Amino acid sequence: MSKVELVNNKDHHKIKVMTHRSSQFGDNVSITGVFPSEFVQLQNEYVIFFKKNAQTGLFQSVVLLGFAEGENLYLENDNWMAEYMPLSILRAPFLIGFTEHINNGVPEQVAAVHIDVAHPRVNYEHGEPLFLEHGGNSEYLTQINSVLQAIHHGHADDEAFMQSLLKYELLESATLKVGSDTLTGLYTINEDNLRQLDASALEALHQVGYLQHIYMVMASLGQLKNLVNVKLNQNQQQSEHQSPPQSEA
Amino acid sequence: MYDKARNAATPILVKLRLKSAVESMVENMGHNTTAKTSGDSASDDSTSENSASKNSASNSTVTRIVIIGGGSAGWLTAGVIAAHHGEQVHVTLIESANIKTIGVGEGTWPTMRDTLQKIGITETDFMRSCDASFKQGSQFINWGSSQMPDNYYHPFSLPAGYIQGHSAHVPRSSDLSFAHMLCPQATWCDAKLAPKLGSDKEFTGQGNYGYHLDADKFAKLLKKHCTEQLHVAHIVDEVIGVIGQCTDNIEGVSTTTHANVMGDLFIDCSGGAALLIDKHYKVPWLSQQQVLKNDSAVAVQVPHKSSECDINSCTLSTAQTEGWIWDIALPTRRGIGYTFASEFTSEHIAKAALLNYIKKQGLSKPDAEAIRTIKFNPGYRQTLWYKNCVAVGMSAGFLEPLEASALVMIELSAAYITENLPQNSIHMETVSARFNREFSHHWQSAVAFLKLHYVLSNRADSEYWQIMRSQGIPQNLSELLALWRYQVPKHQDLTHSNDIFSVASYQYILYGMGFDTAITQSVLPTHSEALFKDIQLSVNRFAEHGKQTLPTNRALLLNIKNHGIPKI
Repeated sequence: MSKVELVNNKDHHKIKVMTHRSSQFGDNVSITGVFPSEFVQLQNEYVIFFKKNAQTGLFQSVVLLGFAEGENLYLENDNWMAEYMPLSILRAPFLIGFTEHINNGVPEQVAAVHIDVAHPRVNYEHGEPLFLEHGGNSEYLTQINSVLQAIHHGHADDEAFMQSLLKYELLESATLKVGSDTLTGLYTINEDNLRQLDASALEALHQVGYLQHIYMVMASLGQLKNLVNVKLNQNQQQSEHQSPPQSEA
Repeated sequence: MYDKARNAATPILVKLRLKSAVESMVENMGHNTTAKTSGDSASDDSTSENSASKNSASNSTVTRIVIIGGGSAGWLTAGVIAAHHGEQVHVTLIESANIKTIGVGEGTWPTMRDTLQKIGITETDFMRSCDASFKQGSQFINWGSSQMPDNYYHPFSLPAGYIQGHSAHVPRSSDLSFAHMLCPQATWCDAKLAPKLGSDKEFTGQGNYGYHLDADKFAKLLKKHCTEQLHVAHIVDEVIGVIGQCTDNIEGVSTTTHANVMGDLFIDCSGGAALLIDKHYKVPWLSQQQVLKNDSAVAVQVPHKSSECDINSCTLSTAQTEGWIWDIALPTRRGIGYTFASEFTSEHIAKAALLNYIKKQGLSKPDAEAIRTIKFNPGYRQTLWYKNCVAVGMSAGFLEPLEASALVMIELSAAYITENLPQNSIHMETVSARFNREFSHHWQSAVAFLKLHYVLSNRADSEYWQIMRSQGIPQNLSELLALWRYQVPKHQDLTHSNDIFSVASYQYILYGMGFDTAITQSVLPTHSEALFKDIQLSVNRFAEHGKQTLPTNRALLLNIKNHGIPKI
């Protein structure tokens, strides 16, 4: 169970956070949310798709990390096998919470850095401290602060982007079959509909930068081949590893 | 359950008169100026007037469709026809400005999903505009006996193994009802869950579902869609006369202030007033009161207990000493009504029973004036399509609110008319004869199926139940019951391929009410024990999976209000 607290230099002065990636920390996810501001960096290492939130039915941008539940092909012996790491992976164990402040007598919701102190990354011995000896923010916490800010804005960006894709009917569902795994529930850009957009629609999409996002998503599909290769290599290694010993008789 | 008053207290102003033959002839010649015999010559119904000139040799094509009445029946029919036939036909709907709607909640069948898609209304718009909620079926409470509390479900999804003929053979368990054993929706209804996930796209879900809706708002949404998207011409006026002999086709109708509206096919959706099929053609009403005694209802709307309380995803139907109470939950309120037979109960007693139910549900007591009384004569029209006039909605028939058969009959009629739209009057003779056979059968089946609910009851608390149980059992029903005493009900037992209540529905009611089939000869499939275990396991797995993943009905409705339903 998680235990979320507002980060402060009294309660969390001595806390440290282990920052290497590991399935022990829950990094073994096959899919993670991403934001349009990341698309440029993501597109030459990850495959960007869209997926519906099961609760709300709202679309969101995601990258595919594996083909089966709990499979993360970017995670190898506690190393992250890519230059860029999605913000949503980077943020753990921190999250944005809202606290109420009174501003001139009017209550206001203010975004603030929170931490899940029950997260397995959190301890007192190893990793990065949150605070300097005398209570100032560590470089790490400053960095986390900007990650969370990017996520905070990213949600709104992504929502607006998705609404635009729906409006112009630019989404289509994609089914992936890799070996025995079939992935459903993923969506990508409908290129036929994109080609048929008229000048004013293209202009509107271009004005807000969405045309670039769209092409980044399309370009990212090229990474699918690499991801499949990683999976096939893993399978091969596993089967070599598991192949029965030759009979000695 | 009613979109229009059948009540004598709120009649439509009807002064039907037959126009003189001369007047009609003038109009048929199609001179627009001379044809305007009454009222406002600046009226905007140019479509009907212009198209009148195409009239009216006996074999002319059917292009002008005139619908009388603007409740759910009129607008649904207009929408289905106009969406399908587009510019090939002119659909004009005339509705009175003076009709009060009853506006109690109404239940639909899953067919409504298909109907809405055909008309071109999105599920998000529908849910938001009509204060609609999801319905997974009905729950019948205390219908079995008056001594011990009992209840059972009639869910919309088929019982598992039904198609293969296994469902009725699965041994009854002592701790699980038939519906709980063979349909995950019973479990989901118990937990007040929605039939679909937030991510399920429009008109799809984890189980079969229909809707509960605000009939008033539904008619308004349909009207807006029909007039703005589907080019249905809309005239707000009283229909005061019919042009044409009552032994021949209707040529047109006259109105108070608009020009006469001429047409090739007239659809009577004027509710209990039945302006064309009854007032003009005098087609007899086949009363079914000897079978189904209920002829009255008292109904009221009450707010939910709180803004967080559960919203039932099925219609609750609770047997009373002299009738039964429906309870339909919308996102904002509950519509509750007591259906009873005036022969056995007074309105006064019914109202008291209604208030008692509301109190027991922990709801706030409504004002006495808010309770509305509805009168009806259960039955249907002897001929539903006569000459060039077809009755749809309450002008065609109404039995009672049980099993929400009113809207589905409208949908079926509208679909039939649309798919078999007559080319000309010769074609119409054949289509109407076939329509009449089909829909007389539908009404007869509905009478039998509704009667089934009463026949199986052991309630002994009143003369009402004794008579409902034992008298007026239709021949088709008694034959089925005799059959099923010695063999389990199977799909093929109803010979009509598209019976509105399939044998699956019969199974839910029969076994929900504890009906016993005496099987002496073994007719079980091979390896039946393992097979039945498999069926139950898979139902159970799906039911549990739904319990883990499905949102509550209230949570999903709130999500739809905030985010809508995904279109893809």
